[in-house]
Amino acid sequence: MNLPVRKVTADVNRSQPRRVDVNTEPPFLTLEKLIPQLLKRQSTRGQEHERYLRFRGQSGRCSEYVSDHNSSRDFLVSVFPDVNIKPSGESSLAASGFIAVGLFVLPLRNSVAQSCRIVPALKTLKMSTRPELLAPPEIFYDDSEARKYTSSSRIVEIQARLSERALELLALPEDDVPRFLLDIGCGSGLSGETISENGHQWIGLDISASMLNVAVEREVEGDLLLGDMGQGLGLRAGVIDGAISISAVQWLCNADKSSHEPRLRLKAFFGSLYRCLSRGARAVFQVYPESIAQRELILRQALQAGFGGGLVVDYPHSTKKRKEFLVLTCGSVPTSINDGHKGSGSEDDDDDSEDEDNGMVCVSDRNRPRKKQRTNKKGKGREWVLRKKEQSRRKGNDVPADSKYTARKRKSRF
Amino acid sequence: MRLITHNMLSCNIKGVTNGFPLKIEAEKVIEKEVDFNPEFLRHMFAKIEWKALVEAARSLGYAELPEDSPDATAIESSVDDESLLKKLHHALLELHLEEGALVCPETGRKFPVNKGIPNMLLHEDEV
Repeated sequence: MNLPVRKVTADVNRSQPRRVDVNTEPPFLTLEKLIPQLLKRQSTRGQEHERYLRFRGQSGRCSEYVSDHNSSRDFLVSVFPDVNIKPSGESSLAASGFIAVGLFVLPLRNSVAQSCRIVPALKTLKMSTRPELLAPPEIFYDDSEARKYTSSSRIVEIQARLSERALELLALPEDDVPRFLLDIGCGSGLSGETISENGHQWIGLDISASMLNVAVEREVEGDLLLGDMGQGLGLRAGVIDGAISISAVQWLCNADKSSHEPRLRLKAFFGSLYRCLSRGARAVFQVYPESIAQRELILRQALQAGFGGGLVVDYPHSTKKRKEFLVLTCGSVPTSINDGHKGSGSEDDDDDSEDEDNGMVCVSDRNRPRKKQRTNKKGKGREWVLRKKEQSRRKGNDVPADSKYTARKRKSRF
Repeated sequence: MRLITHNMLSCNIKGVTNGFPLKIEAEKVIEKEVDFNPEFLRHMFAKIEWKALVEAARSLGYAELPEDSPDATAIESSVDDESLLKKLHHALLELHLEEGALVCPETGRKFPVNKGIPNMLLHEDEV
């Protein structure tokens, strides 16, 4: 990869790519020039890919699938966030004022070998320490990455410790009955092994076929499914006794295809998980959120799906050891508070219950006076509109920016 | 893939209301011996769709499960009914669908099964 690599920053959250001043010659790359050039370099057979590609022109994404309709092939284009791609035709990167940090194109459908060659290249560039920003999970976890999960004793140890802790937080009843658990993002089955050691049965779900192949080689005891958690889990309602997931959910916060919308994918995931868990079951996710915004997004979507619960942070003082576990409960669990209340049986309690029995509760205030409509002649007003927009923004919706036209009154002749 | 997993899986395509049970097209079936654990079977029994299980076991070439769902109490309490539990154990945990396909009952979409791993990835237009 001897592409012009000028600036190595990867911050997907930034809405506007940073402008970088270049003293030397600007890298004048047009997509029409660049893509065939790259394809030629990637292609073992040479010249066949010089096709015109249509870009969907979304900046801020790390990588995208692009279909070349003429040759009916899919391409993965990794665009680093500093690159702003315009729809082709006017696609001079330099002209748009942004520096091309890197752009990789690889034909996907018929060539695993090629993806094997390019993903390591991405990794050696060390664009970021976060794997989510390099490539989609099914590409990132290729054969070589998958092998690490068995050969590296450090990774194995960390995974085992994390899954041990996750199981502990799952708080399954200790009655020696094996439970039926779900391991989301099971990968090569390291976390599943911990589940098996504790005597439970499990199903593992992962999007990377390479990782699952490693799991098959290692002869894990659970069943494996190749699937995308962002598409929702296709499981029947109420059958799973608990779910764990080690370092997987944060992948959902990235959009790898133009059809992806992180919020909707998280919603589909948590919604389907909530359905398939049995009542009172727990789900524990070990997550590495990139930012506070991501953490909030994950948590909010989980709570919206109906889960209760929150975050457990281990080693909060250490940046390296710090581990976050999202512990979610599904449906109400009988808490010990009620029991204590019953056991105490104080006089006050008795009095209260007597009142309820006699029906002495005053009901005169039952019909509250209706809220007075606060609208006046002038309508709701700018302030109200701005407040509503802010609310909607906080929910994560796409809201137009405020301007002097916001909530402006129409002319009377309209 | 074991039948216990098959019994939990349903088709996840958008708009499909009744994606369960997935039909099995078996090409290769293998058996692996697993420790018999009556506690787990009793625990799972309430969650299992019996009809789907019988049908699935039949498509893998195992026809010894009774057609009608046995009584829950019979499963709970029985000591002498060990043979039924053994059969259930064999069907649920020991039969593996190694190669073949799962077919959605509503749309007919095929989910291929390779090396015992069903590919449940959906296309973009099915989400």
